[in-house]
Amino acid sequence: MLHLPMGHSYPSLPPGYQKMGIPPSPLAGPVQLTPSMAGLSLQSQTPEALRVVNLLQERNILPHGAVPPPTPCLPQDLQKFNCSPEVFRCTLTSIPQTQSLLNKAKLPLGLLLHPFKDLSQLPVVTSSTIVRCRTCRTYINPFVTFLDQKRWKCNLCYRVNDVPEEFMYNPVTRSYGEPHKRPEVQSPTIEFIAPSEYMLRPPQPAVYLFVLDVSHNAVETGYLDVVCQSLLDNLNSLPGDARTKIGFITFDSTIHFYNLQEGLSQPQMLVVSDIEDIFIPTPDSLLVNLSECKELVQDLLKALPQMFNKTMETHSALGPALQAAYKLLSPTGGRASVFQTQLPTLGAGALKSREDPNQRASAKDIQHLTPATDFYKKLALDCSGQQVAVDLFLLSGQYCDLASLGCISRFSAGSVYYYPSYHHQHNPSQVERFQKDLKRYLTRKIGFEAVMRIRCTKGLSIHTFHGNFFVRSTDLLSLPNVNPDAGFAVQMSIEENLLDMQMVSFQAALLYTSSKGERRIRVHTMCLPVVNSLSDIFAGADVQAITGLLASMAVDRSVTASLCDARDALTNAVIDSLATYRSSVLTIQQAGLLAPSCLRLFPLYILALLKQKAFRTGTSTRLDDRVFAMYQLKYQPLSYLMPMIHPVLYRVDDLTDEGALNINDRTIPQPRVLQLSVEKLSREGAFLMDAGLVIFLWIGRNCSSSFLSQVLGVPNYSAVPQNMTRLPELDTAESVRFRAFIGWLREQRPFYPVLHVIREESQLKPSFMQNMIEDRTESALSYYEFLLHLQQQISK
Amino acid sequence: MAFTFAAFCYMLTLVLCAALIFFVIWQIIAFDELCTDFKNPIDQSNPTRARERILNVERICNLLRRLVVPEYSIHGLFCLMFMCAGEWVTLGLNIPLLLYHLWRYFHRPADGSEVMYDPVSIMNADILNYCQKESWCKLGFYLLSFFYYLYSMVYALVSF
Repeated sequence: MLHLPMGHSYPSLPPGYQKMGIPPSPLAGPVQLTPSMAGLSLQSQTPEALRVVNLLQERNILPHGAVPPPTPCLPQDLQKFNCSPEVFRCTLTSIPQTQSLLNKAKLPLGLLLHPFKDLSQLPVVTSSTIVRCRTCRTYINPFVTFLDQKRWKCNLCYRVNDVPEEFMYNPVTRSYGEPHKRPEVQSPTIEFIAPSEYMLRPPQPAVYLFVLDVSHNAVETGYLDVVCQSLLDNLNSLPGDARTKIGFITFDSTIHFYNLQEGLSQPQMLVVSDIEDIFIPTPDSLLVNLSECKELVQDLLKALPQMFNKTMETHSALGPALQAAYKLLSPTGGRASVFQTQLPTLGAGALKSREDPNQRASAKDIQHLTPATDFYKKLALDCSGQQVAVDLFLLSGQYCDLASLGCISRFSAGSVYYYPSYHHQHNPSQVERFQKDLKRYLTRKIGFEAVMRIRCTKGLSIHTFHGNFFVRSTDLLSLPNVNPDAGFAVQMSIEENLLDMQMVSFQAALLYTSSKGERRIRVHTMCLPVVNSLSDIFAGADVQAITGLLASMAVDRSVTASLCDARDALTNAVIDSLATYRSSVLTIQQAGLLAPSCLRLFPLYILALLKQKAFRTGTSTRLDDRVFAMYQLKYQPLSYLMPMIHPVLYRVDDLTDEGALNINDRTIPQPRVLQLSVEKLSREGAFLMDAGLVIFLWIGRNCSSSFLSQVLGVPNYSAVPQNMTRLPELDTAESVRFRAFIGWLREQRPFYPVLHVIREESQLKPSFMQNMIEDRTESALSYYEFLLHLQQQISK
Repeated sequence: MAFTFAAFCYMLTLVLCAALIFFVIWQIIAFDELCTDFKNPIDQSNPTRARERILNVERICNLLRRLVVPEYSIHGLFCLMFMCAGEWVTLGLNIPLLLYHLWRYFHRPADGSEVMYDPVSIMNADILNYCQKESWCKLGFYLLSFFYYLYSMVYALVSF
């Protein structure tokens, strides 16, 4: 058994990153032992990951920068082929050998995937034959073994297959007889262009349908201007080719269709008022070819905001509008983008307001987290069957029963966007966020009529899926649309003991139609070692992946059982795992709350989850906000989710170039990450908190005037405007540095976080303070009290 | 031959137990049908099959749902009859299953009109395995009770 010490951050920085100045010291790991020396180590030196940390005494547990994902304990020549942790991550990087060992460790086993992530380097292979295992249909990958030149052994089912003749020739190096040098066997992430056997119907074109709410409420918010302007700007960048189609539906108490047939002088509106039995007024020309009818589409987009200016309609027939959208898109499949600003009141799927404002701050159970009606779920299933995905944009100030409406997206592989209290005048920061998100939404890569299958080595099996899709079969997911911002999670169990196996592999294969009508298969393969001791399992634990998976599991539990059950389950997860560590792994018993170094952030993250909008009790939380937070926990990939769970706090009034990164000739300062506690704030400084969807810049009362003038452009503290959301672009070195830093933070995620500059008396100060997880509030424990509570429970 | 009320109860439960066994076997076959998607993996990736598959899953879930209430009510009827006939041993053997049914019925996901077997979550292997195990256990229990009722009926008829 190889025992390689861990503690290094992921080996290679992406190209373009060079460290400047004095590098900050992360976890100081010991030198990597070569395999031949490993046998001599005899456990005389505990790996860095298992270094015992007494959480009650060590205060500074956060690393200097980002938390690095753990590296699996594989030999170097295999590890360099392993899939990037940004795409494929496992909660335990060393897989237990038996289910009983996994149960003893009390840690969840699961995978977190981001399969369609935008990748800068993706090898694409066009091949007439795609080599797959004959029994389990696994794609050939870097972790198969070649028995001789003509045969290969599958790493998932161990069947020996023949290497086809065409595969022996390597087109990259123009050599023959070296199948292991081919790109399919050299990279863990690869994309195949599928040959015709994979196309059983002609690939569908890109079809986009926009369903817009035009009731009085909607026009009041002013969102129509933003949507139409954004579409006009990005019409040429919508992913697609010459076959791309587009269509529009607007609705209030009736449904309006737009005839955009080529040859008409202007778009023609057709109104259907029979919402009980929706029909499509004309058989074609409601969804038109974009390149042929571009002028008409542009005319419609320019006219749409004014058309409903004087409307007095207050009802909203969302259900019938969705049925109409489904009927329109059924023949081809595609994407429907639905914009809604109020509770649907008419027709099928009408909803009532179920939220009780007095229950918002309830310390006990939260009601109404489940859908009120089956209508949206059933419609989502119908859409999924016809390869239609529905994305929902909710821009409303009042309760909209997102728990019911969200179902239309959850089961049709769509996404939910939420802009609470959106208004073009009263809430300009939301407007900016909406504009930027819309631009990304319209121009990002998209895949149609997709299915995804996740395979694992014989002995492991997948038992629960988390994310937005329909589970068609025990390992097959139906995704009418796949987009680069969606994350998925699965939970696994060990059906048969993994004896005689050194490694197990996982493969995620995503078959989709690209927007240009090509059928493609994206394959990711990951390999992990098998271990049979508890200490090795703990050494390989990935604390962020465990937190992400537990969050998804807790969301499921709050919906099927109750929120209190979910909260208890989260606390018990950390109690059980630390208790097991203490009793079974630790050799010397000490006082205090002991945790291995790799899990030292676990109680902090669990406390952060308990205080997150999705799970908190005792603090007033609107029901829609809570439900949206739950959806984000299940939908967002892990790297975008972590700042939402545990915001990152930096001090920014004294940024230096020490340890800065140099990307594309810009110097990005790397300030130290601080604990989320008010004792780290100081009146003399300015602090930046990155909370995922929003970035706060807190200015202390006695902040240095040089920072204020050179970065914010104001002479003193009292001149800082109340609702500042933009940074002036000044020529000073501090301003350049600061804007580079914020730009770098923003680039790391596909949605646009709004910047809020907060003074001490600002209205947003409570939101900022709610993110101070380590502090006590009237309804929740402080971090230290939480640790004491854990210690008390463990030593029972 | 004493044709007591107890004997009559046992005769009736014998016949209805056959119906319960039939329901459970129907459930087992339905779960098996859910598990087998189209055999050919290339067929599974065919987009036109998606609609058929979803309709199939929904159809099977509807079927399963329709079997639930009759099964529970027949078993509830058994317990009622045994209570009226004074057959305490038999009643005691059936009480655990009655409590289990009550728990299942009231603990179902509160999701609109569905009693249970939700098409969106049924294909998760943990729920599917649980339902399959439940069906097999019930089949064993109903088979054993069938023979137990048969014996008890003869005993009730023969004894004075």
